[in-house]
Amino acid sequence: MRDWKIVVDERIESLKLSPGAKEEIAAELAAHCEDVVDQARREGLTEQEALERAEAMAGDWKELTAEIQRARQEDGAMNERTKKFWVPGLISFVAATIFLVLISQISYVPRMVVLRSSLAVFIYPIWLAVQPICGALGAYFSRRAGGTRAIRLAAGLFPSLILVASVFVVLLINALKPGRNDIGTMGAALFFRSVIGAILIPAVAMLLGALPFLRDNAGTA
Amino acid sequence: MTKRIRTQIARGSAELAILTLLAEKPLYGFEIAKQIEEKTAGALRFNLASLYPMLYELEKRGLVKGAWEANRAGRDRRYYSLTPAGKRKLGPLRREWQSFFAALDRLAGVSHA
Repeated sequence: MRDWKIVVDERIESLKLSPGAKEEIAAELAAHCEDVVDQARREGLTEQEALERAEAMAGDWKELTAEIQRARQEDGAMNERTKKFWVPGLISFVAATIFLVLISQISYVPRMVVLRSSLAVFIYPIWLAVQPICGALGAYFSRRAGGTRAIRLAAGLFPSLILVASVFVVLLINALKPGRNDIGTMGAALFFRSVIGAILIPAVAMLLGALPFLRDNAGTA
Repeated sequence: MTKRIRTQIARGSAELAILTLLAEKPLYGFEIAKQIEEKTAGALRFNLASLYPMLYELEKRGLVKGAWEANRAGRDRRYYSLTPAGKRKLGPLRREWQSFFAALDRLAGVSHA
């Protein structure tokens, strides 16, 4: 009785994957060959005929090895998540940062906007005006890479998501470190206004830019 | 028809066949190949070089997930199941193929029914 594991190990020797991945693939292919032989035996074929059927089913081992290599490696340096989320998100973030730097050279004067009688926030009008472009860039590149609607939205709002994450880090540090109170130092009301002015309002602007690229949902996760 | 187009059609049909089968229940490689051959009366046949690279690629794209489990005979086999992303992908993929066959039908009277 042929040991298919040894046979497959030899034939996929040139596969350039981690030892664990290679081992798993060899075990799976060997199991398939065993099943083909068992099936042939059940159909009444001789041992030799069963082996020949398994060999025929296996096909060209060089082609198999090359195809597995192509299928298993991570698309060069980029996997699906990188293409659909991280790169588009970073494009959006870099655009927002570049606009911020450029606009600060022109006019960086904040405007106070009164949302309610008890709530006024500072916003940077020119910077805010370009936020839809940043949202659109993230969502567009994510859609082009095949991202789902949720991923496109996240890529479009990436700069705001980073700021939200930063706020959570500050809150976490404050919660974990006794005696530290950054929010108390700056004042809870000012902190709240900063969150609205620097995160929520720009996020809405980015969402407006991203909306045209969220319409169809043909992408995959 | 160029080799590239033939390859794309073959890959697309193989992808649809595998996802459709896995939507019913998790299966391992040999079962997938056997069921596709049986259900298509031999029109679609897989060998190792066509089946496993496709399964690994679907897994890389997050459409299927493989896990080792014992089969009915007590042997360890790598069972593939559809992920939520795979389930979402199946509907649009079916519609794409329906449109493709409808277009061929209009063009050349080639009906898939």
